[in-house]
Amino acid sequence: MVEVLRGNLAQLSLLDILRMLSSGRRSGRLDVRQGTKTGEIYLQRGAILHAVAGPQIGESCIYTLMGWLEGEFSFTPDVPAPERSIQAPTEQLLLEAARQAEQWADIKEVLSSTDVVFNISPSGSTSTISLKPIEWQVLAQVNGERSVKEIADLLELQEFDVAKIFYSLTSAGLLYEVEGGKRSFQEIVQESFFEGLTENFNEVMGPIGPVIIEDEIKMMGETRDAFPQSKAAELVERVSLEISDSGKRAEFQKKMLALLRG
Amino acid sequence: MKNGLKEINETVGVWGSLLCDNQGAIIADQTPPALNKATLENISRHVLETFTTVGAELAGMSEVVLHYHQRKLFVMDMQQALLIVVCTPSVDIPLLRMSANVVLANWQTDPKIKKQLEKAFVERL
Repeated sequence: MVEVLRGNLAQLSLLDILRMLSSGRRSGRLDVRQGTKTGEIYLQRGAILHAVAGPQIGESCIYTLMGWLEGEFSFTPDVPAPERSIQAPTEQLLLEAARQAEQWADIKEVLSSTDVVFNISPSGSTSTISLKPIEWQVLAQVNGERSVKEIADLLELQEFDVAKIFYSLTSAGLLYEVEGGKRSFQEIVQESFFEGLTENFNEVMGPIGPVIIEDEIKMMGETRDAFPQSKAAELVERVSLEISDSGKRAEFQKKMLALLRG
Repeated sequence: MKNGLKEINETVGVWGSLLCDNQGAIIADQTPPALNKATLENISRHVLETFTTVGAELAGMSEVVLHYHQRKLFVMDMQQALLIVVCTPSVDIPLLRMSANVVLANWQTDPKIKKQLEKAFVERL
């Protein structure tokens, strides 16, 4: 079966994709993947009719999927919805999703990704804090090993709601981010990769090169000291798009390909 | 031309690559024996049809990735021809795209290959 639209959620948000499909009055199935988790959203002539992700189904599922800031999506046209689980008008759904997306923007200042691991701050807060039962449940699961996403799964809560709690607990000084966290289980690029990237990029772009590289790393939701190997080529490609001369861009990519292939 | 395709094939996860004209005829290929000429032409025609249909809706589209259960097809539009790369689903698309860009940039400056492509040019149906 052929899919005609595919991409990465880090580059195009689910909200933007749904807006595009809805305004284009598209019909079909939008598959969303984040690691081993998958979700499906069905549209008929631009209207969102059905959504499912694991045990979750319907409108709330849309908001959960909106919280997937990383992952992949693909749209397969003309796949009919197996059932109708969403009655709310699509405009209303997208408005609520947009509101949540704005909140995500604030949350992301503290929480770059739901893969991030937190621990309880030994110094704690300097003022009196009262916690709601749900906040206490989340706090009780923080152990310096579980990611935000894993805690949401464990408590069977929406990632968005859990992320909001992490945002407020971190802002209150109760939690701190564990450096490296999940990344320790992934393959991290060697510093020599960044040296090569910076050297080759600087040759073309001059002193602005390192600034662009740092910006792209940040936009990918990563850090230089824990940058995953699986995203190295993507980073090279992203920075190379800043080179306007196609010949110089190809030359830079050639050098970087040699570096990436070792 | 074949050397360029061989270079693309060096990317981990790539099975083979080919170049077809705007009507689906094979110009050059570097593919495993399992992909015989009839299969390659079938793939080319199918890709061309998809590319033309989707391209009509999304103006300026120059690349498409088609997903099958066990294969991924990465397609780049060179205007005179289509570059089709047959890959495994886990292929690193940015790495493959860069590899293809480098090869295509070389072809654009190689008079011999430019002539070959001009000779093979037919209008897209």
